[in-house]
Amino acid sequence: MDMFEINLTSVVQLMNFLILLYVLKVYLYDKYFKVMDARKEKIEGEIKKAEDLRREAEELKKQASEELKSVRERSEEIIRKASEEAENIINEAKKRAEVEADKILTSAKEQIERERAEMISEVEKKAGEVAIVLAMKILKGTLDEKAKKEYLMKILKGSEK
Amino acid sequence: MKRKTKIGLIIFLVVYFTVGIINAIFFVPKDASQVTQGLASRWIVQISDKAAWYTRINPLTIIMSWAIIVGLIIFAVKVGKNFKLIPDRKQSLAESVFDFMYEIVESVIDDPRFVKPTFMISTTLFIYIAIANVLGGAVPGLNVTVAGGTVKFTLFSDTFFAPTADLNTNLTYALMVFVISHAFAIKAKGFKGWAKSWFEPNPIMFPMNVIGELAKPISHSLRLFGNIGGGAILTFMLSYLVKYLFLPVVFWGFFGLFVGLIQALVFAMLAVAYISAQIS
Repeated sequence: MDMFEINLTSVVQLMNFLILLYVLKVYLYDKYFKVMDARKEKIEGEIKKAEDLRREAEELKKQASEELKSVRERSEEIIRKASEEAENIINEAKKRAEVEADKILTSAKEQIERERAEMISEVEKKAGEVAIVLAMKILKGTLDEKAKKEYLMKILKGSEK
Repeated sequence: MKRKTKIGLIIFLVVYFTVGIINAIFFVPKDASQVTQGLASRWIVQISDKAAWYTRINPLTIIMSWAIIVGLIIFAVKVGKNFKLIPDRKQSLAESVFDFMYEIVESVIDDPRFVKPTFMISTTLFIYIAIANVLGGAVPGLNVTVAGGTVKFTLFSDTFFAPTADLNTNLTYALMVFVISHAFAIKAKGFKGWAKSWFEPNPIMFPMNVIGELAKPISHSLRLFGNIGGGAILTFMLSYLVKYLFLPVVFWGFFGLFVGLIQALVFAMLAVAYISAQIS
């Protein structure tokens, strides 16, 4: 059967294959390997770059968190100091107010006392005068002017005691 | 679908059906025995008066091979001239096939020195055989039948002739793989190591090793020949049954695309396996 015949076609087919292999090698395979290497290098470079950037970002993040922490601590300190200061100011103001109030109260009391004494002395004086006037009216006619005065002065001195 | 593709498809269908109808009316033999008469025959041309193997040639195998090779070379030159880091569609197609093959070859071949050469050989084999099988199994085209010493050309009554349905092609490639695998083995292990491997694990095994090695190219080539040749005959017979007009698409798909691609991959993988077995 000529279906299984081996002839010159084999040699031609071998030549055909070798030509095809050569052309594919020159135009495709070599370029494919070159592109694959370039792509590999590029990807590796990109990965390295990405890794560096990630590390840098991580460092920056760490720095930022540290700074944030210190800022928070500082702000807490400031708030604490401010609240302490405010408390001190309030306390001082309270004390000053108390002292002032005491002072005002004392001076008011003193003034009241003084006015009271003045009033009493004035009342006494007025009462004395009224008494003299009354006594004068009663004694009118019985004693002379000089005897009246001496007498009344005696009474007044006696009442002061 | 692009306008250009639509026009191409319409032209193809018009030509296909016109020729199919002409075939069905004028050329379909009424007797089935006439069809099967030249089924196992090949169109062989005697190029000289001397009767020897080197004076006879199968023109259809060579014409189809050249057609495939020219197509592949045009594609390779076109893609290769603009081979870029960021691929276009054609480059992506080539790269996807190369990636697929390279991964397999890299995982099978232990010695990194032989990865690239093995990849080139197996990928070229895969691409060439795959296109040949698909063309021979699924694309309707020129058919040549030889019956009673006369050569008859018909168009679209069968699929194109696959060069892989010719034992010349398959046996040549199988022998080439055989020779390459042993050449690589000599390079990898040295001549002494290679010669010693014929007597392993025991010198008494030498004849068995020789038979085993010689069986490799025979089985390698006959497997592809049987599948593609058989598929072609089956498709041809089924085509006759439907009067060459409405070829059974399922059978075309099966014998042309599925079996064709699988067999191309099997042939290429076996080439890789034989080379790997020799160099390891």
